[in-house]
Amino acid sequence: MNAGNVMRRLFVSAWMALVFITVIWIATTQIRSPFFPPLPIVLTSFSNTWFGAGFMEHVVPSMINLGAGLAAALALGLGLGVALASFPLANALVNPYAQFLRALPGVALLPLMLMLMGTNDGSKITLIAFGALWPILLNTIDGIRSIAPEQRDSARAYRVTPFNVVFRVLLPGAFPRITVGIRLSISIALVLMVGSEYYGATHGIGFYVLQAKQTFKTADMWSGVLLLGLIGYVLTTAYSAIERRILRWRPTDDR
Amino acid sequence: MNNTVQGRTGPASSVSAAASGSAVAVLDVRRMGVSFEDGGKAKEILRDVSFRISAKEFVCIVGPSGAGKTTLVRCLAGLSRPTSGSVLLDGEPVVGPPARLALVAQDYSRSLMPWLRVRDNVRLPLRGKGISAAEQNARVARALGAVGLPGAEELYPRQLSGGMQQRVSIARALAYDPEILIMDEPFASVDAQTRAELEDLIMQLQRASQLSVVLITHDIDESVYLSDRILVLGGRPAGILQEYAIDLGRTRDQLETKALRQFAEYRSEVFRSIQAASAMMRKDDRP
Ligand SMILES: Nc1ncnc2c1ncn2[C@@H]1O[C@H](COP(=O)(O)OP(=O)(O)OP(=O)(O)O)[C@@H](O)[C@H]1O
Ligand SMILES: [Mg+2]
Repeated sequence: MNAGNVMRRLFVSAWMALVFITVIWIATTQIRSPFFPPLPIVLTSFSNTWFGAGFMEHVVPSMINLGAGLAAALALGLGLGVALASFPLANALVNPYAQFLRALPGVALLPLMLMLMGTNDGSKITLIAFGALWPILLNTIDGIRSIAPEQRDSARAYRVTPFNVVFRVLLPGAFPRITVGIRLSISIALVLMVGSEYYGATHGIGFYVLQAKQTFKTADMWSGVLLLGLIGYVLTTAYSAIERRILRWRPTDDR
Repeated sequence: MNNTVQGRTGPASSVSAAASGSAVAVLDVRRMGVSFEDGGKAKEILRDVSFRISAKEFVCIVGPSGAGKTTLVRCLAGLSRPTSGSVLLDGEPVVGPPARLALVAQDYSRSLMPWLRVRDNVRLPLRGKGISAAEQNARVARALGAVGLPGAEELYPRQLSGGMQQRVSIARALAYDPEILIMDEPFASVDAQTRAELEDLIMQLQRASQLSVVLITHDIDESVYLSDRILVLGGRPAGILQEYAIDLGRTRDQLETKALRQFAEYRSEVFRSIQAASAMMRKDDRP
């Protein structure tokens, strides 16, 4: 891919954002509403806070919780998924409950979690991991079951060792499904990260946004919202690149 | 539980006893039967199939489509268990895929892992078995060279034609360095020239080592050209209908051997036998 191509792709994906930003810019500087401070002020607050002390104080702890929660969900989801897919009876026993827990919105458990485990980071990470676990787990099970029996038979006929069956047959074969779960889990984890910082927190981006709102610093609040949007966007875009790389074995037309 | 049938020869094994002489049986199939549950009622596919494969022997199994050849192969490879009777390997019952047995499946495109590059596909069976990485890669390169795909290591299966994928699946079997090689219509998708080369390759390998080969084919010329022995599978349920010991010597040539009068005779005999088997199955299929 050459530089011209990169520029073209950037423009194609960014034109809407550019138009949007321009409209917001003009609108917010014209209407002078206390809820919608002018965009330049929000941007100043953004750079002062997030490129200043706010980065270490709020962004880093939030990202650590998000990363740890997602990592735990991924490890547990893949591990349990392989185990459950390998033992149909265990799967039959567990699957209905996993389906129920997936349907249960993670934020509903927030008060319970805080009550049981307190408002420390451990409790936040547990909540994020819990919410992000189910899509990964259920899609891993489905993905492994969707692998062609002929492929599993050839692994069996050649006595491929269990480690290689898991990491070179089952997980890559199931990945087209697993990745659907991971995408869902990333959004769920973001929501739970912010939500967990709305209650009894002392740091984190969610906490910062809530505090700014309660002290009527709307520009600061908007800068936090903007940052959360950016984080979500960067995460999903970066993940798409990883996904494309892992799925490069697939014909491009059915992606 | 099989004591009662031990020492008893199967319905059609009179020729086999003569042909394999005193050679040790590597694979010993005893009165094997396979039935499938199909919509509540049992569908009997194989009945009383008995034969033996000796060390260093090349056996082709021919028969009409749908006779049960793939079903038989799956039992030999330990992928499924027969409903009755038994399969013994070196005297031990086969209860799962045996070590040193390689299978080239009929559905080659789905037996490769599409998410692994050609190298990793061929290498997969070698991993985690105490073979050094250098040795694994050397074997992969040698096997790919042997099937005429040198340098295909980095490609994904979808980037290869059907015939090339089939050759990768043969390369995977060769790199595995088996003692028994079972191939289910392995040359079906390759062109005539490549097919002849692959036939000679397998034959040379088999002659030069301790390898026993069981090859399923629809191609009568191929079966006569390659075999020490041909088994005709047919009927409903299917059994071994005929056995032919092919006495064309150990060294064979695509042109010279196929020009022999004996070759033509074997071919017409096998042809007639398959024709009879097909007619029999069609008659049985009538409601
Ligand atoms: N798992 C199964 N369940 C039910 N029936 C089966 C199953 N596997 C095979 N059969 C039936 O067994 C019969 C023999 O199938 P098989 O695949 O062994 O034939 P084949 O001789 O290999 O045919 P071909 O030459 O076309 O490959 C067919 O009628 C098929 O429908
Ligand atoms: Mg078949």
